[in-house]
Amino acid sequence: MNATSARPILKRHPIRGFLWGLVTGLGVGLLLMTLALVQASLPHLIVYTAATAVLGTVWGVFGPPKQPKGPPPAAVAEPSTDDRPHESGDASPED
Amino acid sequence: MRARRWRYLVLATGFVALLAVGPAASAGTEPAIDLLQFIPEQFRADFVDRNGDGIPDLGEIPPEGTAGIWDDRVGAVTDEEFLTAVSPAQFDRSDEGSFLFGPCKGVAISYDADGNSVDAIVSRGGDEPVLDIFGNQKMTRGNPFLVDTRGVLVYFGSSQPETFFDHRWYLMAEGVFSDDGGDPNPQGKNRNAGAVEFMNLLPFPFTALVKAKGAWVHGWGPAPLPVQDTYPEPNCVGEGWVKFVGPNPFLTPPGALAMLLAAAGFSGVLFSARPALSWRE
Repeated sequence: MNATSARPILKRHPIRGFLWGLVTGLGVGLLLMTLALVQASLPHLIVYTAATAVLGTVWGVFGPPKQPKGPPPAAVAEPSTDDRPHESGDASPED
Repeated sequence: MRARRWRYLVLATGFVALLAVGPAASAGTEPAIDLLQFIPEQFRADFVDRNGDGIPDLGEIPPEGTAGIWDDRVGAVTDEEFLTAVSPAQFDRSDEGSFLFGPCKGVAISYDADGNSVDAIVSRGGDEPVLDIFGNQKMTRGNPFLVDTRGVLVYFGSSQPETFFDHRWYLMAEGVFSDDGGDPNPQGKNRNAGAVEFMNLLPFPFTALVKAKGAWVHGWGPAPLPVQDTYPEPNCVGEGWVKFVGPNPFLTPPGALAMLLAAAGFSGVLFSARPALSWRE
């Protein structure tokens, strides 16, 4: 195996974003109501919760990706010097 | 680096000035209405303005008003009945003003748990809106009636020169409370006074801005008074905004729960829901 065989893949989290967005909206809505900044009513709470759920989903899909943890597996498992001649021999069988 | 510090300093100064100017400006305003004129003479000795806000503070809670024989002593029997009564559908939230029509007049003063005045509203009857002690329209969204959830509300009111017989009334605040009652009023009374102790009515302190409405109708009889646009004359119909205030919103159960949810949710969105790159071989 060499460094070129491991490639980064992007994993998106729309469901997590939606669920955490729901929680955020519920909290923010309740907070605004307890601070009396908005009127205390169920429709308001539903609007905030739905809006942040949508934002959370968008963030889970289109947010800037986190970099992978650590170097690629091939870079961790550096090939030993003993293997190199063998690899180069394999790489050019026609030679 | 130094320029940035100066910028922050100017910003901070502006912020503090904004916070300080409002209260300072209102502190300089003299009350335009003497609330004691609305309080019967025999109770006036119980009221002294200790905190200097122009609203008389409470010495002793005045005696309870006489309950009408049609007054609802139990309240809603089921959760569904209560939720229906205080449902947002019953309130016009788009209207940010307030009104009170009819001959009803008087004063309502809210106090904190120590008997210090929090806020007051005055009505002089007619079609004039409810006022604060400075003569400004009160119970609007921008100038709501402040009520301490651990305190007491004291009221002195009358329907003079009218006298309501076989009357029915209701009073409700969105999502918080609903009450109704009435009385044949054979004695022909047209004045009442009383106190509402919120500590006994509300399970915990909270802060919320809600819409409230009420109606009081002469000659309705024993049937409960429904919410409708018009009633037989004479009547008193009013609507406006009430802000329930607690000690500190963040220390109340709803406030603490809201903060916890908001913080947990935001952390989850930020760290758990963010797309991530990983290595695939």
